[in-house]
Amino acid sequence: MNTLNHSKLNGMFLAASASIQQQVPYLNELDGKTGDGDHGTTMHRVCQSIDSSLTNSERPVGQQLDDLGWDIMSQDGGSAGMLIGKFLMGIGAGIAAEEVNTEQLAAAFRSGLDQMVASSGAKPGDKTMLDALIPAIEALEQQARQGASIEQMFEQAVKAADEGFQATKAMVPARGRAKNMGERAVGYLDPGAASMSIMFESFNQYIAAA
Amino acid sequence: MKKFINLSENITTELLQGLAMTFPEKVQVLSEKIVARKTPKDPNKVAIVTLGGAGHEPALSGFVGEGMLDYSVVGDIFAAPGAPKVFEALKMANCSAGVLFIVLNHEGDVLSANMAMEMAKREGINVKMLLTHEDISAGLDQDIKDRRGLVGCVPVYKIAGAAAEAGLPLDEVFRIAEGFNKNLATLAVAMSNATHPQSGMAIGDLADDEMEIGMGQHGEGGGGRMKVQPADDTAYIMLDQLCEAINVQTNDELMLLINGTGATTLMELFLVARACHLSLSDKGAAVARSKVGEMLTVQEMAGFQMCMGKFDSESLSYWDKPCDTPYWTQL
Repeated sequence: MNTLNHSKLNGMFLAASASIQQQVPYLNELDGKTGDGDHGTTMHRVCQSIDSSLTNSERPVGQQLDDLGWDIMSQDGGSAGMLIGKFLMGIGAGIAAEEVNTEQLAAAFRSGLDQMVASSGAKPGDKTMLDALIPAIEALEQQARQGASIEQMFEQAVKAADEGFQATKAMVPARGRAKNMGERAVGYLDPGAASMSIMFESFNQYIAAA
Repeated sequence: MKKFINLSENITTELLQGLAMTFPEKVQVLSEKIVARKTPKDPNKVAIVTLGGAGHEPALSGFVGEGMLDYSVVGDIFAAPGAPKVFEALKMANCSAGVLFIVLNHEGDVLSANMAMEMAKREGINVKMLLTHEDISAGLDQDIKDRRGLVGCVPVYKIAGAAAEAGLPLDEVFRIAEGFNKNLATLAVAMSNATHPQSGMAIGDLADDEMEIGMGQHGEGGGGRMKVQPADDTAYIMLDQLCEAINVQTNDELMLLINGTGATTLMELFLVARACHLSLSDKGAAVARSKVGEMLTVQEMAGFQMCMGKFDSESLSYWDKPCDTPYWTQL
């Protein structure tokens, strides 16, 4: 497929929400190694917002994602909740139409990423969710430029997200609560990057089956 | 996990209701997670607002009341409140004298605070933000921005609150509170892990015979791990680092807080306090004011935070002013 409509975009996020909700204990456990053990709980709240906000596609897509982002930020989910809220608001602000082509889709994700980066100030290699998200979105952009289909875009993005996630294992944390552990956090995967990797895996599965 | 809780997602709301029911003459809960004074302050005086996660009781909301905080915005357990809720509190606090917004340096708190500040400025609210960051566990050479805010927020609330109550303008309240804030240092030590009350997970991996100096607010790791030491030795290791951090001199008038983090007895805390007093008097420095007890806890973590600050005549006079909050009352 070469375009994605509003209802399918909602479907992608609902699919991601369902997968993440199944991984709540795993995400809490990962976070317990280097943080305070609540990343899964936070993501559970984010997912509940997604589930209740994206039930239909009656409102304009940009408005719906903006409202969802604000709702997620209101869930008291610490920094992860706020950054994911910003990410969705950014996608909402950057999405060109109810039905977008591949380049417009990549541009919308880029807008989400830019909003998140502007709020967090984290850099690649800081052992955060950005280490999975940045390569995934770069893969979307690269695929779109090469004229790939939406299926191919997400197929490559999930690989990039997973590689980025696995690479967090060797990183020394520079942001978030894990930062205080310094070198001792090396050898542990970043829970935020895990969430992003699960999200892209679900996007890919949904798109492949859609 | 053994804890007396009901549904885990309701803990924060229920604990705030319990606080307000226990101290109905002092505090009330507005909009579910904003704790406010029962009797609002005169709008010609600066309002003091703070934010933070729950699970650290009595902090932060236990210090809402006359002479300290006006509003405390609460998130969920160990998690910052979202920016929309914080903005709502800043709008409630907005008054002719302006708002001092005291934020502990933690990623989520700061992120939420910065977003709420943007919204408040757009709305024309006169608000100044003060960041507490007195944890020295990362090392003295560390950028101040990379130090966490621990129990030191509580005396900052006290001093800022008293200056606001005295009717000083916002810039003056900020100057006095920030002056005290700059001369604060805290170290935490933990000897057992905390449990996250929602996930039931142990946070940290301290062995039975270990302790760790430099533990953060939520039990996250941070510094030196060693075999458990006696009270005196533990106190000396920490005290020496604090004295160096704030450059303690003979004749300094010091503040000393020994804050239990949840599972350390008052008996132990007094042993630690004693060691600090003796060691400081050996150095020729005087503890002018001190407090021992639980101010900012981390669930059932065993350990304490040792916080030291330097007074000048101005901050000392505001420390001595009356206050009437659920967990700090001074005549």
